[in-house]
Amino acid sequence: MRRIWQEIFRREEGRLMLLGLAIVGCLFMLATQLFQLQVVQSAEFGASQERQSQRLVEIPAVRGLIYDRNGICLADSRPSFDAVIYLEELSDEWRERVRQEIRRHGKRLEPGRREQLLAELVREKAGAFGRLIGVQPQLDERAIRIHASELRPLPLILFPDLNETAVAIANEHYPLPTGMAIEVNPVRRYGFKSGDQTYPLAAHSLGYVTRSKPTLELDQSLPTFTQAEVRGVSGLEMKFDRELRGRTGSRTILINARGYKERELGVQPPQPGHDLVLALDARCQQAAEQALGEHIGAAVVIDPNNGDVLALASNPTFDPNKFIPHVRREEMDALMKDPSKPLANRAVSEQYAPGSTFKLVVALAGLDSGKLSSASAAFCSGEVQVGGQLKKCWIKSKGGQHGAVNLRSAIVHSCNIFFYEHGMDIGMGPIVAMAKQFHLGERTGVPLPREARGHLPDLTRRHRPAETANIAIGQGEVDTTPLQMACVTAAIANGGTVIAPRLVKSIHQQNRDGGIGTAVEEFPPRELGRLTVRPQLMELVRKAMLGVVQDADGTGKKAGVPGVEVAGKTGTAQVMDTQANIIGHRAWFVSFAPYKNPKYALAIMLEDGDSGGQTAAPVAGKIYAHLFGVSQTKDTATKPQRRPLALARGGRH
Amino acid sequence: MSRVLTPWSVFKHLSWLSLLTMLALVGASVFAIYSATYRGEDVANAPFWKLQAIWIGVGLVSFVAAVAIDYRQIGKWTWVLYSVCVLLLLVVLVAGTERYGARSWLGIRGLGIQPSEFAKIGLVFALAFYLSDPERDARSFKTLAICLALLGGTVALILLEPDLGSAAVLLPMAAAMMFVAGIPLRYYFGALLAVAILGAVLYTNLLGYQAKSEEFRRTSPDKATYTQRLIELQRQYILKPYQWERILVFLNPERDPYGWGWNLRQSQIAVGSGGITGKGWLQGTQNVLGFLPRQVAPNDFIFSVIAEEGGFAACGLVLVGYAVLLLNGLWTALAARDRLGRLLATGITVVLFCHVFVNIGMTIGLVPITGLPLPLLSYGGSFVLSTMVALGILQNIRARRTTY
Repeated sequence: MRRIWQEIFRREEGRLMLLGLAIVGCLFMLATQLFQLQVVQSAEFGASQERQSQRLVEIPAVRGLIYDRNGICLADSRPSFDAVIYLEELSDEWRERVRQEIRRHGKRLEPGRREQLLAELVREKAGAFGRLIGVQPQLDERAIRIHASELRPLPLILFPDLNETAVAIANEHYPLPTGMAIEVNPVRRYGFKSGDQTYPLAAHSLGYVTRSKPTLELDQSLPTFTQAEVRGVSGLEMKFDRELRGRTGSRTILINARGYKERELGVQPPQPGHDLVLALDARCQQAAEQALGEHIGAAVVIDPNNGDVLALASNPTFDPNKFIPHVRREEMDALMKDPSKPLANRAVSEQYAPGSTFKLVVALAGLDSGKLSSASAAFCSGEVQVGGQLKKCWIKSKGGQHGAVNLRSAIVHSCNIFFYEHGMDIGMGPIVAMAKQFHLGERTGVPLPREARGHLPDLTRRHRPAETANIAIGQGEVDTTPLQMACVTAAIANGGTVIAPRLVKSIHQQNRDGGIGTAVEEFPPRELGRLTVRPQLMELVRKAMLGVVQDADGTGKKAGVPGVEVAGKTGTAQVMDTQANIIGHRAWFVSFAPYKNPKYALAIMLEDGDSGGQTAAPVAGKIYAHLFGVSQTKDTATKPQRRPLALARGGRH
Repeated sequence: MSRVLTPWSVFKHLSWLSLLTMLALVGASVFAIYSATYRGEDVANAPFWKLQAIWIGVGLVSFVAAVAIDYRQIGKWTWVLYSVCVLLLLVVLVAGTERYGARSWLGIRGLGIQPSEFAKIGLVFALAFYLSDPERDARSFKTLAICLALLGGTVALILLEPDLGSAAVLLPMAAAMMFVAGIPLRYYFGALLAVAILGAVLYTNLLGYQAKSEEFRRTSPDKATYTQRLIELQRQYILKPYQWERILVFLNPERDPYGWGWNLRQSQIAVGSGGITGKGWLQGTQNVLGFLPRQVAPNDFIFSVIAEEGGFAACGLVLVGYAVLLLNGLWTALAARDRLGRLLATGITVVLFCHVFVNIGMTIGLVPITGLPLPLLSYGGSFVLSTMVALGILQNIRARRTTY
């Protein structure tokens, strides 16, 4: 072996061969490493190349509109003209400034100075434009820096929502300074035009949207620039956010090593959101909101034939337009701290003791179980002993008594004594069972956030007679929402069919030419069940309800309107503090009309009422007056139609 | 067999395979450089590819000359040639243009020449001529000393520019020539020892630098301050901060506090993302988008551009091409009719090989990043010219292997 090596080393040819072997070996190493990189690990490197040089820039979709049942637009988008600047297009000017600065100082720049120069450049441009349109720019250097380093492909908004004058001035000074542009962005608008006034309607039902800040999301397959995203945060805007929002599109852009856009690789167009058509009737809603006036409370109007929610009003209300483009903290804090809780949807999200309106359920429970009949009677002396407790009829405080009462007069005059006595006779079980037939104590499933469930007595527990007597007049362990009571009334109105309230009728494709497009989803009326009460027994209760309004001494006669047979039931629930002191009254009025072939079933609840008959019934009366067109108030709503604005989508890119 | 080749008849005895390979590579270089400086359809391309084409033209003429004139005739002028090269190296130190921190250019931009490229050929001739003298005793210390003096002088002058890469490539070249010429192995052990000592010194230096740079990195608020403090360090250590960083990044690719490993990383991404068949000519994005810096894409990192656009297929072809040239060089050395030819062919082949190995190696992470261009493919007039002359000399030796 040694000899062979010596031989090789001794001869020039041998040494050359060794050299050749070394060279071939090294070339082989190169080939192996190339194979490793280009064949074995190629996908890995391809992916990291894509990640470093490609970005997705989201294109928001046009949000769907919300119409009432007659095609009146309640929520649409108006164009907002924003003066924006594209930092990418400033790169030449910026570089020039940096160069000048270096030339002036002859040294390398201090750290952060380059970014400062960019911010100065942006501020100068904004300042010049601001002087032109007479608006002071509000820019903070940090925001510019963050935008420059993280969100460069997105426009930086300098002046949001320019007024018409400013837009006109900007148009006259075309072309704008390098990098600047006026962009049209859709801004949500809530409003119903009545006469020459526009005001937001059904704020609690519609809800509102908010706009998030643009971000750069890194945990996607490709780093993604999300545009300011509009998102429903309350009401139907939240519940139907997915449908309304549509599908965000995106542009894939190629960026260079300095992070500037080089060119566009492809576009995935956004899909516009769908429109909602509500069961709500704008004019009915308007009537309900106006009828509530200064009261704190709720009014619900339902079509008893199909459950369509024609009006769902809660007062006090708020202007959702103030939350646009995004919810400001001060604004929200003020609303949250307001003791009248304007943000609460009292018709759906709050629950109250139903008071005497619950007597309808008790009466039906008695009739169905055979414990009550048209002949059932009681004597009201103004008070009665129940389980060692003295319980009073409301008439006592007015200095009187009802005397001899039967089922009808007990309902018409809302006598408590009758219901105390017969309620205890009927018993908790049948009362709760009837309430359950009306689906009380459970959510109606109306598509609104935070719907209250209501409350029914717990049957697993034994109740004292006094508790049962209390329940019989709608106090104590029972709570309902105004919407639930409207549904109860609707079931009585239509002869015993319990229907679920329907707020949204259908979802439609967006129609670019205005008007409503083809339906993609319909929500048919939903029947929850039929009451087991026999029709002729049911009729006893309905007749008594007619008496409540139509009788000269009926408790609810203030709900009456001339020429219409209105039926109803008043209710006044005491609100007690923890020491059982009465601190206020919930005034209720549930009603339907016309008596034959009812078209409307409604429930009024006022937190600050004196009594159902005095405070709540007139509210119902006002709504009826409007609905039947018999009031002295001028009907201004001659079917106002507002066409949704056709929006020019962001023209650049 | 005894015949004399005239300058004209010599062309009948060329290696057509290696000639075609050379032409294919220089042809490809024009396309590769076009693509490396490409910025998009609507942007005028930099004129590098045209300049390269012109230099290739000049190179072809020189190639013909280098083939035509008998290398033994040139050998007689060795000392003149070597002196001119040394003189040019001296001139460039005084009158050269500084570019990328090195004073290595003579003449105007674009058409300038790099004397260090021609010094390689000068040194090859000097060593080959000196060692091939029949009276030379390869085993004597004097021979070694003179060889080392020739080498050391050239290396020192190039280091003064400073052009570390070009200087370094001369060492293996000289070592290979002396090895083939029969300089005893014990001197190589001596050389190994010297290298080991140098390595140890460099290593301790490196450790010192690394510790300092870590400390700066921890205490500097941002990149600019960090860089500034590192640059202030440069007089304390043998290599410059960027050179240390190249070595450190090579040893540990994850180490990249402030983007020193950028070129290596981006080059590897370019090569790797090319895949098997590549993205197609002008379709690569690494250089267009500036991830592969524009200053280096057409020269030092031309292979990354080829690899991204041509994939493993093109890289394989390029490697085969170089293998053809190198093996032809080795075969020429074996078959050369005299010692001068053999040593010349050895030196030329080894220089060529070093360039190929170090350049491709650095783009794929096998070798630390050094500024050695890729023969025939990289943009650079002097280097194309000197490489083509060198290949001409190889053909010259090969064609005249059986003549007198």
